[in-house]
Amino acid sequence: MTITQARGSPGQAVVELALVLPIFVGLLLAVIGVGSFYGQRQTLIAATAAAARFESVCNAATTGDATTIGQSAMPNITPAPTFTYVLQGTSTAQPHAAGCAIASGTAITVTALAPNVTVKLYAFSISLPLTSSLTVVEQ
Amino acid sequence: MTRRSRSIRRAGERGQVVIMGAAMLIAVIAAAALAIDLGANASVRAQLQGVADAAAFAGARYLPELAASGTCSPVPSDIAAAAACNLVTANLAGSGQAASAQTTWSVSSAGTSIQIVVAASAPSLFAGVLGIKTTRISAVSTARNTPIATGPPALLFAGDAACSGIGITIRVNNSTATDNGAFMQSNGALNISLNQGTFGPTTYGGPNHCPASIASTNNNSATFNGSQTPTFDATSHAFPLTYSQASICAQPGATNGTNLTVTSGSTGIYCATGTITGGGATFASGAAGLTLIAAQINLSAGTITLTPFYQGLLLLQTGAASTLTLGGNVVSITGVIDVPSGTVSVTGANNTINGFVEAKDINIQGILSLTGTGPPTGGAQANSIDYTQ
Repeated sequence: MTITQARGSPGQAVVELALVLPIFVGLLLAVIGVGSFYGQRQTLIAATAAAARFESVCNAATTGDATTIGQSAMPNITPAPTFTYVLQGTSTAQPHAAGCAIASGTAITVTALAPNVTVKLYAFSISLPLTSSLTVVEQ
Repeated sequence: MTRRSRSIRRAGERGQVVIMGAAMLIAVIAAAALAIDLGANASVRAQLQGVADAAAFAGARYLPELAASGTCSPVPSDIAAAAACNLVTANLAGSGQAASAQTTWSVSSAGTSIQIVVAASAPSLFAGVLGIKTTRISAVSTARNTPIATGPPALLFAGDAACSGIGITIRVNNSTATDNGAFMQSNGALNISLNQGTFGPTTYGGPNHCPASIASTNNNSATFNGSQTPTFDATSHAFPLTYSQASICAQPGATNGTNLTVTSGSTGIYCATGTITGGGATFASGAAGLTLIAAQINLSAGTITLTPFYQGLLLLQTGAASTLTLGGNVVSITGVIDVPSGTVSVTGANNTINGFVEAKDINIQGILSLTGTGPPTGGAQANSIDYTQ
């Protein structure tokens, strides 16, 4: 009887491993998925800051535009996030491109929206919208 | 016997896997929780860093100013700090960190950089199980404001565009004068009379095309940046420097009143809605300097020696059509004199001006030693604001 039990242990370990491994792997992938989500969130925050900084120093000698700068700072997020700007209480989707003239001291709020950021959780994934907003003052 | 003992040992191992499995599961879950919480904290840190950067950038616009430090609650009277603090509040409004946020600020001893520290608590999603309910996260940002010199420093600026006005008038008859290569600019008239003068770049004329009158005695001459004639400039330039009386007079320690009498040796900021009067045989600012702001400033002494207290500003006279007269035997001035609506009249026998004078009209007489320290050529002072960390 005892000998029979000892011989059955290897099979039992395989069964236990088969039960536990998916849970462990699932946990691992979930951690990676959540980590990736936070990574994309940080990228979005950094891109918002980049766009906001462009707006802050925008002047007649500036080249480029804030949206392009912001989107180029997060090439791995698809579809490309959209940027909106609130200037003197007026919202607009148009960035301030080269030659812009914003009065010094004006508050500009830059908001980036990534509509579908995917979070992979093992066998399934969910899509969440991510937003980041930053207010700066025109120099 | 051997089989029996092996049997007993295996029977004793039962349950050991369960314990190990439970321990491993706790460890794995803890690791996962740590990873998720660290990710969340990093995300909050990135947000706070952006807020701190934007705030420092906003505050640096108002530099340089006096070294100071404090917290953002309540909103400080310091204008640079207030701008930064207000932006922190605006950016954190509605966020999960708004309630726990604490912001401190400090302006460097040189007064050219401001540091913002934003700290806030981020709630722990999983680490709370281990008793760590929140994590304190802080972000530091420093921004500095550096003037970019694009030409020689300015010495005199006269905003009066009327050709009948004094504009810039320098009369040093039978003597010599030099401004050590500094820049002079008049939106209107330029009248210079001396034995020999050596000046830096000088412009005049303005939109009314006012003439320049250059008279030299004893057949000597005056030169302007090496030329016999100053440069005509039809543009009406704005005053290079502007000061906010309200913000300066709200500085800690400033003395405010209707009419003030300032004694020799005084130091600090004195603000009067009426007149500031000072005088005596000798009138000198204290070692830490003096800044006087009033509708009318009357300083009368045999010897006048002044150094600035606040942001290089010495005298700001705000009254309309008023004259600020600095007379006596010896007048020695370091710093900025600003009389945007009136006339600065320096009539000492021996005058040393080491700074910048901007006024509607400027009239300087006597023996001169001039050194400009104002904004560079053109009157447009470009500033470079950047992060230092």
